[in-house]
Amino acid sequence: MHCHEVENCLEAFLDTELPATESAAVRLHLPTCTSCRNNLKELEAIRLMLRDNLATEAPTSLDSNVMRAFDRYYSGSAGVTKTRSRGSLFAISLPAFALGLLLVIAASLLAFYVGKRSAMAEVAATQRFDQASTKNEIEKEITSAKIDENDEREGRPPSRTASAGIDPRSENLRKPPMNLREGSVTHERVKPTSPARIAAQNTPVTSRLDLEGFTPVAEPKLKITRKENQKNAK
Amino acid sequence: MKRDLSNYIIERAASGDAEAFREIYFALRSPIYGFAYRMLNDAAKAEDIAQEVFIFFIEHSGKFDPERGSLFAYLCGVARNLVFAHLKKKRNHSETWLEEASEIESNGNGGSPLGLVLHRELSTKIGEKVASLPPIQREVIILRELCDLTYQEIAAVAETDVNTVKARLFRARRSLARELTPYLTSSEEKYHALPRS
Repeated sequence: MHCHEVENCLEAFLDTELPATESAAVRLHLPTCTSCRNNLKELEAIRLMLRDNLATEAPTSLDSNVMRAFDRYYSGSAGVTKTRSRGSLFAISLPAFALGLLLVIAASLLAFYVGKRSAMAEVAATQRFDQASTKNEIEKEITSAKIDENDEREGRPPSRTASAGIDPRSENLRKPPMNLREGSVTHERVKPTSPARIAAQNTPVTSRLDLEGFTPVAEPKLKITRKENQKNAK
Repeated sequence: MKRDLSNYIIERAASGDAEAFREIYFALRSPIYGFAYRMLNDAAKAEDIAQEVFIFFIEHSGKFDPERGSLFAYLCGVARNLVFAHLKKKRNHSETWLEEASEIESNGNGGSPLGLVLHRELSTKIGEKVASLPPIQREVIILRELCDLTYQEIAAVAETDVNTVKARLFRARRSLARELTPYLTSSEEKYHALPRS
């Protein structure tokens, strides 16, 4: 047997896996070849190192778990439950952790969105309330101005009843002024009693002066009122 | 280590004899656990796998056919399937090995403190080198050197043929020799003088 042949079967020789004839040939070759002897020595040393260092003793907790499982199985229980070792018991799998994290993020986003929406709704409600109150005041002023205009046309002294909170359509207001009621044909204008009334009489009814102090938010409504006024005049 | 268990003991264990089962368990627990531990380098997972192997035997002892091989090789095959299933799930097993290799304790060391330190250092180094092998080479080297299975048995456990086992063993040993020879040549005498278990 030559060196290269021995080299190829040295491991099997060491593992006692070589057929008897080949093993005998290696045995014959080794005393004559230093190189092959050294190779075998090295392989043996590595093998010894591995055998010495790879051996590991099983933990005692395994004994109790396995014996308990055996007893449970043969004592008539349906199946054997596997007891997880301490390291695995507290280990959380990655998908479970990711799912949990996603749920927390989704819940936070939902809470933020709901909170934002309710805050926006509150702001919008406040704005609507403000607009509505402004509009009501403007409408009230316009109604009062209309009444004044009608009064003026009919020769009555302008009365800001609407502003005073009196219904302009009430019976008393529809009655003509005292001088007309008593049969007078002259349509005398009643002298205004206060400077504000004088100003109100001399200025157009729907002018911005009348709305002084009110924000003309509802401009389109004012325009409609003018048309309506013109129609009434016709 | 007594691993040649008679068919009589196996049959008794399969029929519920606690004493027979204990005999089997204490003969095979360390190599089964050691195989799982060296393959995964995760003590907790190795314990789980060893437990599953023995529970498998308790529940399916009737499946074992003594004519096809030894009980130890059969249970090594079960452990191997569980290990590879775990490796498939967790591909980054090599990092944990390096983290925990320093915790490996060899058993029954008695000797000088220097000898113990050297032995522990060498043990860690060997653990790292074995861990750096590809799983199929690591598997055959562990089954051969730790579990002491024959080529035929390794082939049966690894679900391959004897020639493939020889080739894998050859590559694994060459690779380990390259890595570990410096430790041998520099301190061969020291190594041989070290206390052993």
